[in-house]
Amino acid sequence: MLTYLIRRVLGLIPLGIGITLLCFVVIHLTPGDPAVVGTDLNPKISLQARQRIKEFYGLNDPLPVQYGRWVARVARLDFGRSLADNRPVSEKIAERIPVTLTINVLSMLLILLLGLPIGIVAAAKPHGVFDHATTLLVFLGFSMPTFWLALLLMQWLGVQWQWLPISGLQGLGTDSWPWWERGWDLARHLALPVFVSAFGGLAGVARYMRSQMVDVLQQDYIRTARAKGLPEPRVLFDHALRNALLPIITILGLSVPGLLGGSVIFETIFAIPGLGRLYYDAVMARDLMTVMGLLTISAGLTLLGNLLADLAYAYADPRIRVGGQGG
Amino acid sequence: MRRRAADLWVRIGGGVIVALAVLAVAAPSAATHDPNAIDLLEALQPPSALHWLGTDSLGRDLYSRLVFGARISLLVGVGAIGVAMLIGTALGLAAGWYGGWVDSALMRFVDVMLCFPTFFLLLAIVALIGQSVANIILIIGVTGWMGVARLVRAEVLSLKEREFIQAARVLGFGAGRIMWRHLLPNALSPVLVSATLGIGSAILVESGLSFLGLGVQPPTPSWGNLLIDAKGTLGVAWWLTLYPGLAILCTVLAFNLLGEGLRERLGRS
Amino acid sequence: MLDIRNLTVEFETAHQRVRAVDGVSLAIGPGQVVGLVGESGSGKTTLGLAVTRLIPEPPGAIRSGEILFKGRDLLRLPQEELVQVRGGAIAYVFQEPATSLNPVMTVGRQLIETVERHTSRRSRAARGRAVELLAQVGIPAPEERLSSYPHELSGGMKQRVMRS
Repeated sequence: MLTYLIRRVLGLIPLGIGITLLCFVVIHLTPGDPAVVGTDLNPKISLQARQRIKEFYGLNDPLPVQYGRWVARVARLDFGRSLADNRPVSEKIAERIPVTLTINVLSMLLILLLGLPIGIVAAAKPHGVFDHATTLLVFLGFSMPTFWLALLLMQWLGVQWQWLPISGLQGLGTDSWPWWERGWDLARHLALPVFVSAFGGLAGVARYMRSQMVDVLQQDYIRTARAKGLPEPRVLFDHALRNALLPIITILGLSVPGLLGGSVIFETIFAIPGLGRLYYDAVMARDLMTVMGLLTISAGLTLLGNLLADLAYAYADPRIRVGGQGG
Repeated sequence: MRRRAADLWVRIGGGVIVALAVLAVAAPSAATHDPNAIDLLEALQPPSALHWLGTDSLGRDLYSRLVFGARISLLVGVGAIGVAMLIGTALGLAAGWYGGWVDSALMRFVDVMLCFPTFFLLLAIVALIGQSVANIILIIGVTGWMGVARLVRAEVLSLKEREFIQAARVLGFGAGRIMWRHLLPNALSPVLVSATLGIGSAILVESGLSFLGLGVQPPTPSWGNLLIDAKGTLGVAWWLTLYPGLAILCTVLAFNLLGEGLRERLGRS
Repeated sequence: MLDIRNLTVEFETAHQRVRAVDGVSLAIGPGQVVGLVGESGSGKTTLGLAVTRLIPEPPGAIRSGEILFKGRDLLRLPQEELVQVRGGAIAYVFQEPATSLNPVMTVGRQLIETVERHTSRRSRAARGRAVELLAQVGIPAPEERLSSYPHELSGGMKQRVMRS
């Protein structure tokens, strides 16, 4: 188990190099001076800003030197200062992480809480009514433009019936409320964003869980369990589920980039001050420093998510955790 | 039984797509108004006999804009996937065939690309190189080839050991020829499925980009940027929200149905 | 004791309906040992599985027949009673031990749950019985083995676990 851990962490290094390299390439993507691009596309970038970009990325130095300095900075989480408001990028990112993290974690929870049971029930009676309904749900989930879903929900639930608030994280003038009322207010504000964020993932997990369960239920050891006289619910939940759930852990880890990317859309629509919104604003303002910082961080978060998922999987699967002698 | 369901999906999906394509190609004839014709007197009208799906805040006919928007969606969808297929197939073939460090390097590259949220990459590149339709097609393609590459690589790896490939090698056929005439045709089915599903995905991405203002720019109508107007008139003009979104949903659904149906049908043989 | 009459089992495949067991009748008296011999694919396993209705119902289906066990027709038995029979009065030892054990559960757990199911023993008593059983089939250090996972055991050992 420990060797596995060490190997995995070491495996991250080439990926880390690759990521920083790619970001580096992106900065230099445009023909000519990247600092000039700012001015061409957006007169907001002043001469001073151009100068700052040049200095930060050392664009006057030879490429390898530039890259080396860039990596050193990344290691210290120094992404320079935002071109928009001159605050350190890492600070701006850090203050937004809790929000995005909260929403994404809640999203994942919702996905699991709804998606897993749906998949299990669908697999219990394949080709039954519930199964077909699930298939329909899955197709809808994969075909739905999330921003449209957001708009529709905003229109009905927010404007027409006024059940839920549609923007921001807290209502006006709620600072003076007692903490439990503020908590409830927060929950109401989070309801729509979390749901929209979870929608696509829900369909995916439901479908995956179903196919996993169907596969597992066809295995010999399930037949053994039945042959031993165990009642069906026991067979399903005790024997089958343990096996079917394992790959879900990996899926969760892989969903990090998807959730982050999706957050751009719903954070913009619902005016949530998170990472996605920061990124969008930075892109619109051509604040290249923040953009690069976020790009790198998001890739880093993905790596982290994958690592955590792999570790969790290694722990959960006794075949890896305990190793085998086989033979 | 499963086969009949799959056939049904292929037919429904395929049918919708063909109808849409016809509509898109014949857009000037199919539309009832000039999609860019502004008529402030008619602004924000609900659906009527004159304006089948209503008008937007500048009085433009929604139906006509939707019809022309279909052009963009199909163009970008198919174009982007074309780019993705080209890149992905080429890299996948190379990785699978040559193996060794080429394979390792390419697969690492794929892993690295997959670490970035697609939307983040898209937005960054769009901000850097500009928003033309051609650029968008290119960018979506360049950020979406990874799945195809892995798929093709897997196919090549499994086909590589089969006898007819061994035979071809022994007979001295060059790598290029083997790839083109023997490997590709066999790898075609899963790639086709992937491409079909990918078009749906690309359409979703393009509409998202356009909605954020970083895709197809107004006044050119794209289903995504039609929804920008909808956001501004939320609660007032339900038709502006409903129809463009419905168009996206149904189109992507059609591609998904077609793709899954194809997967069932082609996978069995 | 076990009386199989005119049993027919069919399977629906993608192309056609296959009759795996066709009107078979077989009787086993108390104390008797019966061996079924046939080429592979002749339906021996299917027949055996059908006795306690272990055939997966989509694609398979038991088309006709009766299976009388101690006077009761197993094919008509309600589910709660059927699961009592399985593993208790009628037990199976499967051919492929490698895949017949649940890979994510300890061997001990899989044994103990069977013991608990079919006897009145619980927790420590059941555990004790499980150790006995393992010892009976000749597995060394049975106490420790209870907390092993199937992949840690050799093929032969797995087979022995199945038997116990």
